[in-house]
Amino acid sequence: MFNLKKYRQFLTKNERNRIYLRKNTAEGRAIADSKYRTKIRLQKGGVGVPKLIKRFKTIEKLETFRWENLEGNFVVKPASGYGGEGIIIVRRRGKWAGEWVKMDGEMVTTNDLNWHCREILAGRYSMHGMSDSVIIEERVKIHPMFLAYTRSGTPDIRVIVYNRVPMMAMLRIPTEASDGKANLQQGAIGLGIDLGSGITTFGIQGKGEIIERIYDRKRKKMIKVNGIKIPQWRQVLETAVRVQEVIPGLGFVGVDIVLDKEKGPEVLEVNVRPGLSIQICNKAGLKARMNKIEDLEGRNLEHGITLAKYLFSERFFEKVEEKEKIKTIQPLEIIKVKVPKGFKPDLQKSEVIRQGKHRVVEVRAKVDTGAFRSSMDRVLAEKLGLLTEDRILYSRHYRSSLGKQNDRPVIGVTFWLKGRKIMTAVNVADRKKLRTKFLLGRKDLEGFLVSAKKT
Amino acid sequence: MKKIMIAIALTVAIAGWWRLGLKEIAAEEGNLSGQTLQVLKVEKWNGFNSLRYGITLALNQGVEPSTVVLLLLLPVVATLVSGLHYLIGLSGYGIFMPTMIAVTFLNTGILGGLILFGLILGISALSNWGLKRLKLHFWPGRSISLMFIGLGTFGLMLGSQYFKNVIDLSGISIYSVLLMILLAEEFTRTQLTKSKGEAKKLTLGTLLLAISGAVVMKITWLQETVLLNPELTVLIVVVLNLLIGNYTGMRLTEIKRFGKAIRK
Repeated sequence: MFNLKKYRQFLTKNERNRIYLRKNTAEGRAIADSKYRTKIRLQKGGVGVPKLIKRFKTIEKLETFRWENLEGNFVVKPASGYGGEGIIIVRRRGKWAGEWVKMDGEMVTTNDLNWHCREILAGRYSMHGMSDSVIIEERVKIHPMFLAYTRSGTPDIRVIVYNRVPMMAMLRIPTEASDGKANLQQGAIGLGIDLGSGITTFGIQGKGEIIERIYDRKRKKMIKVNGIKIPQWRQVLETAVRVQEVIPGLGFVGVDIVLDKEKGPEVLEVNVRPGLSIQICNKAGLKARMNKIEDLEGRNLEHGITLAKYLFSERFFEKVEEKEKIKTIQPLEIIKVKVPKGFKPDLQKSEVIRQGKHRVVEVRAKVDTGAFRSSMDRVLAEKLGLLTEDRILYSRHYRSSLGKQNDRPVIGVTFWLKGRKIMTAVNVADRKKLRTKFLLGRKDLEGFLVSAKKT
Repeated sequence: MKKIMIAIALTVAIAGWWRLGLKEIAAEEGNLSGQTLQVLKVEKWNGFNSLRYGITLALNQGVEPSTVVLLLLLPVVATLVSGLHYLIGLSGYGIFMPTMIAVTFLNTGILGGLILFGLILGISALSNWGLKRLKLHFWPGRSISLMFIGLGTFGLMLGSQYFKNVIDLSGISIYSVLLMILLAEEFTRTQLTKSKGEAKKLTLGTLLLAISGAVVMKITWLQETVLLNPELTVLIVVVLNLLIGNYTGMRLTEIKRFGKAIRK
């Protein structure tokens, strides 16, 4: 019933508290804990953030501030608040001077806003009741795609980044229970997101209730939690990794990103102690993923995202298997390997054909269920433009069946086998003298049956 | 809701079985100063028993033995609390709050302490609700709330005279009241900044931790052992905390939590 081994993949709270201290320096933590300092840093580093309108540290500054100069569309929040508390979102001016309309249509007056700012300054919403400063920033215009899932509040995307590689992501949707806040602890919904495609997988509400369906307000019915595609996915991941590049001393963070209708991904907050429920809505363990890249580091933006894409992608088999039978393959199969965008492969025998919107090359592959990872010939990889610096995920020692050891690069490859798309990490070997230049390992054969029958 | 009911039923049962009032503690002290203290005296200083030697000296100078026992037991209870937190997953408001509340329970008794806490929490919630309308500054509001709590506690002490055979709260010390106010404040604060559920969970956790701490503190055998072997106590506390401090594995409650994340 209960298998302790299966729990090893998870990052536990005890361990998270350690990693958080080990990977994040005191300075990095101090920056991340202050929304103001984070914003300034990120803005300087060219990462998208909601624009700062004003910041107060004292009541005197607050008294001289002229609210009537604002056009509406702003957010008032405490600089060191947490859990989304103490935030007022104003959509537009009210009918009369000194009146403002909040997101839910309720009215607030300038007096109310002033009083709220005083409370923030007095430390009502800060972590230990210490005096705090007020931030007024531009309101993010919610991407229309998200409007279908929430009535109040802004859905955001939490990406956990470790050593400049995205580890796991989830879409957080505010609910009635969470009072418009995108915080799982308060009852928001979290949907796990596949890093490779930006498509949602599983769902959770609050801290532990698994959900299978959510309400779609546009279609007015319950829809499945899986299969929702996040727009501008690559930019979202890039933004998350950029945060680690811009703020030094942060090795393990959760980055909260919102998608603005016009400006694209913007960073709301950086969290040095990200919650662990993200593992439940992805049904995957952070620990196992972190171990995979423990001795690696994202060399640059490109490389970090490539690593995440090819190492942590979902296979989407569960869905496929329900619909169609398990496919049978022969020991020798023709696969279609994707050619990188803009690269002109120089090949004599085979030519580039099209598969949907991608360009692919047909390659003969041999099935080897004795090998774990697939492997590809060095010359072929070079010719297809796959063996470039930023496509090499890492280099690993491999022990061949004869006991020989050598260093092989591992690259990210996308290919189609029997019409099924497979994104995977493949090691590069010298197969010059062999007739098949591609060996299919069992890692990529999930959902296939190998038939030894002669045809 | 069900869990809360069970927890309350349990605490009432424990409290009933173990009616510790102030008077019983006094009796306890008398017990301690009997033969235990005589054992303590036969000692010659040899370096390893400095602490024991010091304690004997202090007792001779008129320090209450119960104070010494409490001082020695504090880290033991704190260790228990941290063990329950990191190994089982029971959390309260930090480590000091449950430990201090545990000491408070020694003064008020468990049932008495819970009644006191309930009263203070109720008053502070009511006054918060009323004061919100007045839109005062933050601190003056707290002062008024504190005044209500003071009056309420006074009323409780007065009222408990009539139920003396069930529970006696006339001997509550001011420190117990202050600590209970702190806990109630923490509850209100968490409710505002996090959520109601979280506040309930943490407060209940604090009370549970405090009760287990108080139960441990009450064991006469432990009190004597600690007083007779202060050096060993210090050593065991350090070793246990080093072990717990290096534990990075799962907490018991996480088995249930992450069980949902395992793919079939």
